Amino acid sequence: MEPNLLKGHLDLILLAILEGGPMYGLEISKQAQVDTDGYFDLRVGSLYPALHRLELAGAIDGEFRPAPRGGAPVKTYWLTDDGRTLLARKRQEFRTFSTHLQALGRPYE
Amino acid sequence: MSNGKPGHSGDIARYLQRSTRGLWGRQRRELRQELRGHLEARCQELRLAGLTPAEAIRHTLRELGQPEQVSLGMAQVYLLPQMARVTAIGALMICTAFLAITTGSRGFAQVQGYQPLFALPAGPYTYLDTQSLQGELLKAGVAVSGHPQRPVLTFTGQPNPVVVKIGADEDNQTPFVTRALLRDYATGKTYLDANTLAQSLLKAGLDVRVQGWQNPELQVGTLKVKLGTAAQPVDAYNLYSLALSPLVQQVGLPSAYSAKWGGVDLYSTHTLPPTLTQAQPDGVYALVSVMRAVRPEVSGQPRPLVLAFDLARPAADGRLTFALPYDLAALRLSSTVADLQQDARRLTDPAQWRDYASTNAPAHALLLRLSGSLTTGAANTPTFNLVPASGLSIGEQ
Repeated sequence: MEPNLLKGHLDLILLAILEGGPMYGLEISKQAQVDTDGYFDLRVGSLYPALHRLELAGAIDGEFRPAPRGGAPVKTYWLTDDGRTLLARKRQEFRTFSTHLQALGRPYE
Repeated sequence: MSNGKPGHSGDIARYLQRSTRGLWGRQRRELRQELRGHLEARCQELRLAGLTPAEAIRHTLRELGQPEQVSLGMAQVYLLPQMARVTAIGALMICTAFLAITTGSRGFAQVQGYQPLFALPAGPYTYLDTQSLQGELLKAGVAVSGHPQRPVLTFTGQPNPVVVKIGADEDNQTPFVTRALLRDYATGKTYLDANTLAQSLLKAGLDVRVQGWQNPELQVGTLKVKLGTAAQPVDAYNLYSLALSPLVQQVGLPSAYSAKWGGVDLYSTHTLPPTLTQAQPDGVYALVSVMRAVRPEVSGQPRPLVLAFDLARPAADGRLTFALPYDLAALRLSSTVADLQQDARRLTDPAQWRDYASTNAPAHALLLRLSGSLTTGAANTPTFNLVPASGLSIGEQ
């Protein structure tokens, strides 16, 4: 997928994934791949900075929890109430954007 | 199991070290812990899938990619201001005050540098504390127009407005400022890159000079500003690098590059004896050569050519020691710019790449003495003078 497109929608993607329940970084990136048949490839270099930014902004919260198979603990994130509101707004924005974009023409048909 | 384990756990430690570079304290510990959790969980999955522990680590590290992508991303989250507008205006006030003074009165001001509490990824940046700049300089009010992240300054005595390019997106689509302007979250202070400031002044046609090395003096028109204090020193390395821009243009290259900006401590160190250089004790010297950039600007694209350089002042015994990029192992000292132009042409041929700068085919290098003037143009003092030199220099690696 075009990296700039992914970057522009990273917040929406992460919030939408976390809507499904608390997850840690590795699970989030896998979930993104599974849900989109590999279309979204969230690399560590963009995933973690984005998670930390959303946490600073209060849209998600996180804490270290024991890893499912032992080993070092993993930091698990979940949506806050503010995050749910932000997700709803981002979805709406994206819908509006996408509607207008489609109205610009359908060169591939 | 012991197959290659020490080496691989070393790889993990190195990855964690590099990916968390730039953060400090609790933020660094937590990110390191978080990435370790990710890494170990992934390794365990791969081992369940049948990989050996060593293979699992190798595979995981490959998946994670360049650790610098994490550290740079994190620097944008934690170090660069979220309140870009506020800080951009802060920086802007300094520039305006600076310019106001250069047009009129003489002044002498002292500006704090930045002893970072965190290590930023390496690069051509020298930070000045905006507050102490303001404290010293904000004595005259100047009208400001334009976007806060791309301020346009108009001041008396100069027909052309000065644009200070902070470098952030002009449409303000991202909340991040570039590295020209940053905020230290630990202290709440903001810092402006000295070269960004100097370049804005140069672009406006002002006469800019630098003098000294540790805590240098920056002279703009008739104004002298002392950069750095004993507690918060500033080093003039990056400012002097601006003096190379006429040569960069003359050789036809996109930019200059110092190995010290690369963040990797791998150099070819060339030491030139005083008999060769006739170095003046207070002089600032540059050794320059052409090479292919260490990394492409966009991955997948070819590596562009750059003017590789290092700057040095003579040691007590008169020797000059330059740390050039690792690839520049063998250099043939020359006295004409044409030799560098010829090397640039040579490097357009991929067949030349393998032997370039080896003893079989040394790269040409020029020794320059920098005058301290950063203003280019025929009417000004040249920014550098060529020091005639010849012979072969084999770098220590």
